[in-house]
Amino acid sequence: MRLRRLAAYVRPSLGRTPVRYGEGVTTDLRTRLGAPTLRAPLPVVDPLVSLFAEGGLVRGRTVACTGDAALSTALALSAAATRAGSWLAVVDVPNLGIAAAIEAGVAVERIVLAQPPHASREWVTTVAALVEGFDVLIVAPPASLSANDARRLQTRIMARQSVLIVVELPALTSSASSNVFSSDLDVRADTVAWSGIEQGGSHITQRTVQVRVEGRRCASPRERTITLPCPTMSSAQSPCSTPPRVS
Amino acid sequence: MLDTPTRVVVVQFPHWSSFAFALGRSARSAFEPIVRAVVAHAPLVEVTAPGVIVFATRGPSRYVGGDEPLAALVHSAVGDAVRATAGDTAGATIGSAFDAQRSHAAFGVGIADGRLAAGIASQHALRASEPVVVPANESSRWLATAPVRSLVDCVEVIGAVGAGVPGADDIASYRDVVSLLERLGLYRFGDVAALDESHLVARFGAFGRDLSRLSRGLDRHPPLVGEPPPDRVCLLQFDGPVESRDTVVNAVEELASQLVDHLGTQGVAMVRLHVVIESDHGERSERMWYRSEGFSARAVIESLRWQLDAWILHDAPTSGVVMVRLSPEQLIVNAGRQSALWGGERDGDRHAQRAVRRVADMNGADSVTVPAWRGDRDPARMFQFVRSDAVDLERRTAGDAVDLATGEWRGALPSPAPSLVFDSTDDAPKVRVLDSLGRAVAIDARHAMSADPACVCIDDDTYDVVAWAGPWPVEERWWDARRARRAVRLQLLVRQRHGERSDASMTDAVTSRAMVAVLERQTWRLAAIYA
Repeated sequence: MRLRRLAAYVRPSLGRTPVRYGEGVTTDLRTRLGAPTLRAPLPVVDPLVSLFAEGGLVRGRTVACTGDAALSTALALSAAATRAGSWLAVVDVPNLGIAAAIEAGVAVERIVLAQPPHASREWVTTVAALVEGFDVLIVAPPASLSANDARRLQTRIMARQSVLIVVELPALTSSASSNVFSSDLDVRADTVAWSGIEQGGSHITQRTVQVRVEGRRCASPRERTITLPCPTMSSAQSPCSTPPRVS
Repeated sequence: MLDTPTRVVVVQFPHWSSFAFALGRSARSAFEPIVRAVVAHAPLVEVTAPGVIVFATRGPSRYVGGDEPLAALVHSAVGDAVRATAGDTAGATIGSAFDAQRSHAAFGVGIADGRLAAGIASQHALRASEPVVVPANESSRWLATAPVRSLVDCVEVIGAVGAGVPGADDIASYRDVVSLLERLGLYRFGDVAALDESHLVARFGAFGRDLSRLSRGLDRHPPLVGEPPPDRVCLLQFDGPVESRDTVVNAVEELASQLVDHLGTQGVAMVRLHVVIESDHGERSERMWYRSEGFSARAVIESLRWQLDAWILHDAPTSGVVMVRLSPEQLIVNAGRQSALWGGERDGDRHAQRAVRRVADMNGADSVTVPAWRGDRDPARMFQFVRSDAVDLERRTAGDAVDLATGEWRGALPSPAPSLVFDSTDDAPKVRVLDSLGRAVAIDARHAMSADPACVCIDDDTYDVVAWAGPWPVEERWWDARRARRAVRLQLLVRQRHGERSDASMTDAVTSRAMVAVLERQTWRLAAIYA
């Protein structure tokens, strides 16, 4: 009897390492919250790698592309991922030039274009359905999109570990689109030089774009000047490489 | 069971999609009249892709009295159907329009033992523009002299390289296979047939066996040895006539996956499927379908959808569907299709398909599209957007989306390509291109500009022209008065005029924007933006 009581007294301390609260609590919280297993970031093409501290697009994040080369840059960002087998959904960019996507190196067999209704709720429902199957989404949000719905979508993106690229289309083509997404990364791409074009002669052969990455998930802004289309981007033949005949 | 190849007729249009495009119709719906012309002589035909019809000669040939009369009959029937199809759309200008399209509408009819030989015979027929019939039991000898290069042109007839090759991309893989064979010094099928099958299997995997069989003039799949599994026919009878296409498809979806699973448990897969649809008034549609790698449930549904569409569009059944019957006609040993470690089908592909299907159900199939190569010099028309349910995403390869073999289009915009493109039917913003005196820039008959462009007005904003290239004339179909097109393109580099916007956007005003403007029928429109 005495022995048993003693054993009961002793046992709890047997084999127990001293608890260091900070550590134990965090691990416990992390498991309880069901932290998503970390998946490797989506790859990006060579010239853009140095712009991302993680060496690629971290899954679950929202990237806002602005500047006059926003769409080209968005395509360039998603190119390597599609080549690696990810699917790309382009939402609400009905006039997308597929040739430009191919030039950027996007695997064209894995592009799907969607035109959801513009009402905020339906738009979000549609895009949320797409998130289930697509690793990369390039979206041009309609002006009607509410901040609330945008947040719901971002939550879905995080849960599903996809990457949402919000592009700003040139103002002259669309009614002002409001960016209600709170982006993790802001990619600003501005063309600094167009080469080839003159007063009447030749044609645009290349554009030099300055890409600046900053935002709340970026410790320090990174900047790089690249040329579009990147020479290393497409191994595939461009569908339009013959210069037109100039009379 | 004897291992003898089936004697088949192959009707092949190598450039069907271009022809359908020239007619302004989708490849499938434009092909339907041709199929119907052939069905008049052979009830059970197989349409593997728009532009390819295959059917067994056995019944029809005996009926018309031999292979030669059959070939001639099919050739003339198809020729009439093509002329009627071209005539429908071209109207009064049929002569010239048809001449221009003749190269695209060229077709060949070939008869031989086995699909490959018949496919190559149809290629010969195409060049000779008369049917080619290889005598019975002569096919393997005839095939021995054919170049292995012809494999590439017969992809649709014999099917893809197959599931055995990870990351198989139909045409590209055939090109790889052919180029490898040629580098090995094997130029003709005879050379390949002389090799031991085991060597080919060692080099090419499962496809090596197929290659060996094909080169020896046999059918690609060996006949199934042993008892066929029982109750293979699936019959779906509706309680009442069903009017809605989607209801029929949804009902069959379940049945199809059961059938495929059932066959899967027996270790077999079907490569040929006979689908019969019957309406309440006794109207029937029956067709044979072929998938060289075996049918998945999704492929069954895609075939059914195609057949239903064609039936509803062209026969206009007077009542709802009461019965659908799926009967597997040819079974092969299921080699299995496994997710590849590198390339090939992945989980991601399946997830994407599921998402696409869901969105299509939510917003209608038109709202989800995939790009397909069409070929044009107009940047907005270079690709067309195909409804996602009209393509099999499972089997989609880069070759479906871009046909690099079509070659480059003279007069297309030079690289880099613009990322936003506008068709004349799109509601692109209105553009005015003005010279330094504020007059609209005009282009005369000799493509000379009236003055250098100085500024561009888009909607209400004015932009200064920094540089420009062109004018590049585009003259298309000048021989056809109704569809002729005459336009001039100008590539412009513009900069927003200072002081017109508030200070906040002054930084933006410094950056310049490149665009392409097109002058057509005395009006400038925006054709592309380099965004």
